[in-house]
Amino acid sequence: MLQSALKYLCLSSLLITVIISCSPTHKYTLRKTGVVRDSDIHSIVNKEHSLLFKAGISVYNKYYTGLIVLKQTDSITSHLVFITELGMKMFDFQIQNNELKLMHVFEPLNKPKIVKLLESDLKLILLQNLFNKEAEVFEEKSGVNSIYQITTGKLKNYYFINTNTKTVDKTIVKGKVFTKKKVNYIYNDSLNPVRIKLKHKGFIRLKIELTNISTK
Amino acid sequence: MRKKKSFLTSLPSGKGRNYYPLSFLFLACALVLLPFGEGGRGFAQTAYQSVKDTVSLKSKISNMSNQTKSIESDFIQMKNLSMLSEKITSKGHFWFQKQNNLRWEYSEPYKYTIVINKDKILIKDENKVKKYDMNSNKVFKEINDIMISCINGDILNSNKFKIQYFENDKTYKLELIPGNKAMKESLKKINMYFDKNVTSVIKLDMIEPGGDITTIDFNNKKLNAAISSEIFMLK
Repeated sequence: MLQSALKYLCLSSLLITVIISCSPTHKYTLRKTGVVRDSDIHSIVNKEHSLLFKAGISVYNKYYTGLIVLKQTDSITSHLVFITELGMKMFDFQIQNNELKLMHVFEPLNKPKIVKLLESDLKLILLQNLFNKEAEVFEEKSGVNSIYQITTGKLKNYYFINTNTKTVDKTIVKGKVFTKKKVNYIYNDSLNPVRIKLKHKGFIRLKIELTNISTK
Repeated sequence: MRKKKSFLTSLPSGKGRNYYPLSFLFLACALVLLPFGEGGRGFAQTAYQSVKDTVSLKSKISNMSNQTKSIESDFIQMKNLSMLSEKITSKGHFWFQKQNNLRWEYSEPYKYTIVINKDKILIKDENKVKKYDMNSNKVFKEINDIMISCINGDILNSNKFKIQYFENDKTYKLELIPGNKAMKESLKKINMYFDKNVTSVIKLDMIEPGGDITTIDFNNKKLNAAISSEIFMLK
């Protein structure tokens, strides 16, 4: 009886240790909790000029390539438009108040499951789940990197921030145990993203890869 | 393991709808219909009036189509996203050879090539090449049929488009309005401009229902020059 209790205790401790060590913040210290303001993080949308990306979107065994235009059209509105290389518009999302609104979608993509996924993933890429949200801010000892943790229902979003540039280098979306999505960013000297890569883990087969080809 | 499909093959062709990128479809049509000339940009936009003698114009177009064996030209494509007041410009080169060979190649600001080689369609995106069989896909087959009807001039009598003929002092303008409901959802109209001697297409406008326009200007044309068969291959 005592032996099985000990065995259970050991396994539980091991499991707790594994879960804690799996948390992205385990080597970081909680510094503060507060609402994330625009000035805290460098935005993906450039307020001065549009960004043009070569895009590859792989969703449910279908592969779409084309161009994505990201442009702020007024002080509170931006648009993300996906067109094929040959010029046909595939979808257009309006971004306002950290929400995405579908303005146009080409018929083959107009399926609730695909639209919902795209909306959710583009929102994640554009950091719309970060701004104006209550976040726990963890900091590394060196102070160079920090993590903003935002909890939404059962999911936790971890934003890895370069404290010097205020850019998000990586985003991880985790369930209770497993990572669900991962976004990686690489920036140029002007702090515009040159490469963005989103990948789902598990059953959802969706991948978005963007390469900046803007001339500005 | 299921093979990953491209945009082209993944499009549903059932239920009476064909979702192939219509811009390409019309482009293919225009490419094989007429040779292309210089000076697509900057011609004066005076008022257009309906062409009175459409029979004569159709005949000129048909004659030219018959005389054209091959075309090679540079192109500049400008996509105007009306809501964003944003223009995306891409440049490239194309080759066409009768009967069924076409290479449409973007070089700036991205590399993307489509080749139609008889019954094969090849797409090169950066360094990845994908091959498709024209006959395996209803949409590809339709494109091919439209191309053929462009070559033999039947497109001008096609019930797929309502065609209107206009002219001003410098150019003719053909307005092609899709008759098919599925096409209409994606494309409102295509305008083809060509010089008054009917020697060449100088510009194409593809107008979407939402007001976005794709304009293609052609320049540095070579007509009926020899083209190596290797051009219509992709490695």
